[in-house]
Amino acid sequence: MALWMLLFFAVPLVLILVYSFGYMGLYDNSVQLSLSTDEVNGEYSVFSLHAYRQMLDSTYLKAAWQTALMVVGNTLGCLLIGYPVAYWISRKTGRRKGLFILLLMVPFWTSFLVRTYSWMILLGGEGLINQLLMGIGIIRSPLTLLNTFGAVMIGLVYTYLPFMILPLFVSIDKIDTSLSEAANDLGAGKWSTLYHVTIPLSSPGIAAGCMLVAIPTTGEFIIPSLLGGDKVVNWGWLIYKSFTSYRDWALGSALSNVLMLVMLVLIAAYLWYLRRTPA
Amino acid sequence: MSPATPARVDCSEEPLVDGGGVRRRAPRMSVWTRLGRHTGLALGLWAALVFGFLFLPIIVLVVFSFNEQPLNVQWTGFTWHWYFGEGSAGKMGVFRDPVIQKAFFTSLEIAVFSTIGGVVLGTLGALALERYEFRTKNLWDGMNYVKMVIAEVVAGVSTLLFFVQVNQLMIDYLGFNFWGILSPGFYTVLIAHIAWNIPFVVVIVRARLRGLSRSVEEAGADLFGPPYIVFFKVTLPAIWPAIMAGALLSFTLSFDNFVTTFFTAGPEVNTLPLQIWAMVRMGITPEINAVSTLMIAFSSVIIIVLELKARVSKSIV
Repeated sequence: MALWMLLFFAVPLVLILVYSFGYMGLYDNSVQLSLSTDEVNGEYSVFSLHAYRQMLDSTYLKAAWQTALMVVGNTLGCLLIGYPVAYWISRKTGRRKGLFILLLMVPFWTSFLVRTYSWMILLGGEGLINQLLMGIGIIRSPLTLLNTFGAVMIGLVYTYLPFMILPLFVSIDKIDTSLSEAANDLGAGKWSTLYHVTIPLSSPGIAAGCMLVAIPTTGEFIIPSLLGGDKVVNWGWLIYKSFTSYRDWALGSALSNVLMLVMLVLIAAYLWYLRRTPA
Repeated sequence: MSPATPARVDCSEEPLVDGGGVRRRAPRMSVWTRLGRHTGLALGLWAALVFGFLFLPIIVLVVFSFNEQPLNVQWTGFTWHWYFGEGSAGKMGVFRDPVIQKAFFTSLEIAVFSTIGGVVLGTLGALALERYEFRTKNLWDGMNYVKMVIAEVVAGVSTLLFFVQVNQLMIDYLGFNFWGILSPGFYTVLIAHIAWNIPFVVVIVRARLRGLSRSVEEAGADLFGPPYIVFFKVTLPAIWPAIMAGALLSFTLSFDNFVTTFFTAGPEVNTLPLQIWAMVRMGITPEINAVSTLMIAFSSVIIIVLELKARVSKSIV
């Protein structure tokens, strides 16, 4: 197991680190490592930061900004939408609880690609949502819903919501109901109990849910590609493009490394949180 | 959304209502207080909306898979065409389409083999991490978790680079690339999928091992069982449910995996998710709806069978 993981996971990660310091080959898509070959733009270099320098371009800065917006928006959106649902499920009893958890898993039974594709049908110019809005008479001509930032956000929240609700449910469900009853007896109202008892006690679930949503969102490229119609550019999408269309593997590696760094920071923040709060 | 103010209002009111036993109308109620009164209803409505949101796309897919008109826009009439109908490429039913069928079987093959590989290696890894102390333990542990949480695209592209590089090295230095085993294709997908499955199996099996008291194994050893007998007669049966759970998860993840497959597959390997991606990129076709409806039906049947089996075995015990 260790060998397998080392060979096929750890070594490749080191490799992209190496590749990111190379530059793109002139005649094929292989990366010329500047350690072994000659020139980059007329100058000799051993340790090329070419790919990283490319990233200072405004396209990449804008993509970084969009990605940050997506990550924050998706995490907060899932949290605000998911918390009441997790709370509601945790107040159900016995078999019903299991049933609703099972229902949350149903979206996982079908391909993630297909679910995203279904939003293409719903949000399209002649899609159901436009038809519905026009039918009611709110709008006259179809809105452009697909291929916008909003469409990407809907797709993201839709996809990641169960990843938020499940850990939230687990931690809310663990809370002893007598604690909130005690808070009630001591004169705390429902909101007060929620704010001072339930939310603090469910914070491990909140942290875990935010991790599960935020980290994969940073590298998301399928949702922006399908629902953003290649118009909404984020970091993951740039990696995908640099390995497929642009064929610039050095750039792709450099982009991946930046992403990896961000993810490690997020993971470190989570570990720090875990260490700070005893069990 | 700051609940600070309403909370203070609540504090004074709630005891009156609950403690007094008589329902009194409070003179002024903020929106939050009103909402607080009807939390049950409000939460129920909200949950219904969210479940609706989660299910809407799936329902749309299933419904449109039986629609006559191919544009997925308006309901024009019921048809089985997208399942059994004949026609040219892109206009035929799923059961007639050789491309989709081939993709399905490739997916199945990769899922089965990568599940077996992932479960064997993952279980061994879990045993090593849980039962033995060694110097690099923390490193392996960390690597597992990182692999599970990082964005798949990074793992995917790095594996691709790795395969290409190693393949080149083998040709350069050995003059022999082992029948192209590491040039992007079936085996590279399989290897990447196994690496993808291992951490999930490790986590599940480890949790079970932790719950298993060591004294059970020690009792086996005390009864003069050699280590391998103790393993097969005691440890393995005890962790079997976890192994099966890990296998099920691996299979699902592998069958549905797109990102890793996309970056590690060569042109001749086509799995179902890759095929769906190609079809989605080409435009909207009802055949995709039919494929996904079948996938939902397939998973539902598996879940129901497992559930019934669990119920039957429970009733026997």
